[in-house]
Amino acid sequence: MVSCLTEQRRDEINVGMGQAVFHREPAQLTAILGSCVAITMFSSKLRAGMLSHVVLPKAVEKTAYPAKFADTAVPYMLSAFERHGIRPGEIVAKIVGGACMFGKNSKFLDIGDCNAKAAAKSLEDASVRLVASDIGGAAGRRICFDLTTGEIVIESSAHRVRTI
Amino acid sequence: MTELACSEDLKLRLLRQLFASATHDASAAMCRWTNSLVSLTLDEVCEIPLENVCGDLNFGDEPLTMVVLNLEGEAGGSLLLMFNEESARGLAASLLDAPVHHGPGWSELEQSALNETGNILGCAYVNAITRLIDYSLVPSTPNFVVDYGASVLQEAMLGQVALNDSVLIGRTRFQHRNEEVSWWLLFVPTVALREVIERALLLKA
Repeated sequence: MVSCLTEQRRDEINVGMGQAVFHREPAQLTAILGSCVAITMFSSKLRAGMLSHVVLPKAVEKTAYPAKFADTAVPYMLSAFERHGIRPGEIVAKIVGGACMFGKNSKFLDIGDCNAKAAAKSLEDASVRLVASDIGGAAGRRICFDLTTGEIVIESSAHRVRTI
Repeated sequence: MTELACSEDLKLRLLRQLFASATHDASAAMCRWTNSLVSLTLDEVCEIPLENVCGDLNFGDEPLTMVVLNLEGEAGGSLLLMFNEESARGLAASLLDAPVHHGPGWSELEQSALNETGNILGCAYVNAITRLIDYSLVPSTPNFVVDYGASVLQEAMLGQVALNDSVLIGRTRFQHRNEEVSWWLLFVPTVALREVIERALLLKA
């Protein structure tokens, strides 16, 4: 398998921390994750997907960065699909990331795990089908979300390349 | 320019002066440790919007070799000493007076040499800040990490991103045998430490 992560492609869009990007095929949405979590949504009907680069589990107040928090990212993503006539039942979601980068030396009580759990809960609350996840561990991840297939290619310093 | 903008500008200028002093002390410590092979210069102190952090700092797509020190206490932060692999192996070989080891993996001796580098550098940097702001900061033992720079930085920034949508980072660059090298020292204070520093600096200004 050839990883789409091995070289920068013209149709590759990097999604920064706290950002969300909605795009139609053909394109790849990429992100580098540590304790952050990527929530992806894909509509095969629309041939479009969205990636939110979530940093924290829960917003404490109204935010200008809805994709920064797991609990606000999911409604924000769904509203983007709704504008194109796609309902939650027509979307599949995946979650990637949520590592604990410093292991037992972390100052923050496994924020990666909290992010992953909050993302899953938020999807469940919104009745969006979570079809795959690759979460936890102690290593960072580079991901490439292919908007033609809905597949995510994952590379990390600890594992071989894998696809979900 | 608004009064607030003036005030933020002044704070950033004071922070630059502080980090430049810390860099000066760290540079002296590194010269002693590496027998004058390495010197440091403050590159920038900047406030970067969250979504631009990794793009602006441009760590590249390959894993980096890093030594991470956390600053303990209520007002803490992180110091990240980062190298590309080639640079890290070159420094370890210089310090150990041994041929460059081309991996895979890192021997305990190599890890120890790089950890000690992070320790010496970090303590000199932190001691200078402590002295100038009259606030005690205690660095943790160094953590050796090989991973994506952006992944490690995400966790180091948590002390700021929970409260802000931008991140203050001080970045220092290095010269090794008078040539620019791909090493970086990032200082990432928590919001609480940033407030402590700014208060102390404004009182002295």
